[in-house]
Amino acid sequence: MEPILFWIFSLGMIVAGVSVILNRNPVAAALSLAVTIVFLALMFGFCLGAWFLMVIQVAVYAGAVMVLFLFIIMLLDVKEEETRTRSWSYAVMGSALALFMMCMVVLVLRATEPVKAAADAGVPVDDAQQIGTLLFTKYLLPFEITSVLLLVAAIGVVLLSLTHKRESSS
Amino acid sequence: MPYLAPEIILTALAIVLLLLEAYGAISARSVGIWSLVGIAVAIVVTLFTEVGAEPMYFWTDPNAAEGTAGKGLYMWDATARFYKLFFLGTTGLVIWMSMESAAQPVGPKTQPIRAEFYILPLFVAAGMCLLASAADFMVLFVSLELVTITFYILVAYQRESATALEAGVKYLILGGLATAFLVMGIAYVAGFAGTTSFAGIIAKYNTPDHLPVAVALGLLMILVGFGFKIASVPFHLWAPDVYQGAPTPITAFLSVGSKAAGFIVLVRVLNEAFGPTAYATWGPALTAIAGCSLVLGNFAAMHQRNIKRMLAYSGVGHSGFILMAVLSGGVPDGPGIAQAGMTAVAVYLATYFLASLTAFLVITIVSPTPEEESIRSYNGLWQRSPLLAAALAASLISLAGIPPFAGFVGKLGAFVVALQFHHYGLFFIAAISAVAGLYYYLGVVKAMFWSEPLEVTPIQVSVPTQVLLTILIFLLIATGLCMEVFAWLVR
Repeated sequence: MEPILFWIFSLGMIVAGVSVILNRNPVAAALSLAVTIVFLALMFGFCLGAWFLMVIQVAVYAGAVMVLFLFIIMLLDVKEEETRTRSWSYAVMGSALALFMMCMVVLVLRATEPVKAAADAGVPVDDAQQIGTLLFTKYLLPFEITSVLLLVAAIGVVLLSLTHKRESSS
Repeated sequence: MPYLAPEIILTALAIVLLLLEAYGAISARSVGIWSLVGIAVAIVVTLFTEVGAEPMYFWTDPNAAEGTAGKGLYMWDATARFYKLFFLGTTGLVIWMSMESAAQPVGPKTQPIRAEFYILPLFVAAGMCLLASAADFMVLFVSLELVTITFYILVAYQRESATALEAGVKYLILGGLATAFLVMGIAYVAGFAGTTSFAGIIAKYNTPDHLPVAVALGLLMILVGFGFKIASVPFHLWAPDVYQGAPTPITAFLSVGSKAAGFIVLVRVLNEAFGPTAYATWGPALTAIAGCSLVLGNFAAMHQRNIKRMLAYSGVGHSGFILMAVLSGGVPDGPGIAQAGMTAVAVYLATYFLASLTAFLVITIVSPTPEEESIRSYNGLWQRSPLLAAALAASLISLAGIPPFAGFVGKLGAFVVALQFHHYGLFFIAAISAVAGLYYYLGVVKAMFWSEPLEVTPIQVSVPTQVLLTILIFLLIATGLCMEVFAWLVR
């Protein structure tokens, strides 16, 4: 059962990923990206047994990040994006680079002993309680640094967007 | 816990100042002064925290695998203390520069310096101090992101001007790309090692065999991420534009603080997470990067007309010199990087810190607007302000590496390490590049002393800054004359 699911999900991811690049309409491209993310989440859950990660992946990436993308696209001029011509040199360079990366990853993975998925190794991975305990004990320090990081990001957004307002009001 | 004191002091102070400023209880200038006080306290605490003979670890994992027990996320040793003092000193001088530039008249498109401009560097300093102590890829990654994301904001601070906006966008996009490489590399290494802890990775892979291909690929991707931070060729493309467009104090912060942060994580990872066998992977890669940085940095700097762009390219060249000192690994059964190399890196960064920050302090005062950043604006600076001209001359000659200034000691150390570890080709390239460096550094010195000024109005320098500049000139010469200072510093 699992190999079949793996092939379905990965084919879905590839098709959706290619359509992100080829779609002229930014909204369609963003939705294709959301589909890619959902397939990746399904892969986490059904093939690796990481159910918690699957839920987080959908909530954070397909939910929060994609909504942010769509908001930004709303601010852009969609019609102008559609009429923009594509540069062949970039397409060729990009494909060459992607092909190179793919060859490298394939070669490397073929040459290396595969690592067992945590579920196969007998370690329960999808336990939300376990992840929470780790975050608040072993990884407390990085967790706290992340909170400072988010604070800084919030300050930055306010600082960079407020500048304009104060300038025009004065 | 005194070992985490600098980070806690800086973060707490930054949050308190933010709140005070939000409720209007405190002026921007006093925020600047309080930030300086906080940094001074953090420096004193760090200076008086004891360093044991063995590194101390915190947040240890009781269930850790064999051979890694007792090693945690955060480590405290002499290296950590040296780099913490380095980052705190840099941040202090950067805030001083910001206060200096706040005192100058603003152009129509310049934002006035607000309190956040003094507070955000405190967060950067906290992140950099954490990097100096990181013993786990988790801490390394989030601290590096704290530093980088705060820099995105600071670089784009003057967002009304087109060059600043260009700088902000370039730094954001290329920084994001570098982070992607870094996290991909960490994923490969951690995925195969089964742990993110440096001690766990070295326990697994410090065998006489070569690294598994996937781990080697991960290490190379991590090097790409760090190469961006230290602005080395071919990951330097952002540097000239970002250095030019960012406010001058932030340029100084990027060129000294961010570069040193890149080097401390580089040597930490190569030393703590990978043993001597990994040298076969990173040695050739870093040799190529160092050679390209030396040549391109120094030769491209010759043609620059903008002093910040010139220092950006020369900074690329300096990364090449420091990488030459990093390339001291591969000794069987030795550490990842030999002690001689670690010392040479620290000494080079210390001399670079003095010279580069002095230069940027002078640039902040002489070039308040982007139009005045051309090297022609420095013509006849000697007649307008002898102190500023002397300080800039001392720092540029030190950067060029001429005795008796501090920079000579740094360059000497890097060259000695290159000879010791048989990098003759690199040694040769570095020697030529150092000579090329003389040309553009001394070109500015010549313009300052022997060219007619464009305008003759004397430049006023406030008394505290005069004292600071005098101290910096003294340090540039004194540390060059008695090298024992450095031995004491990195002890």
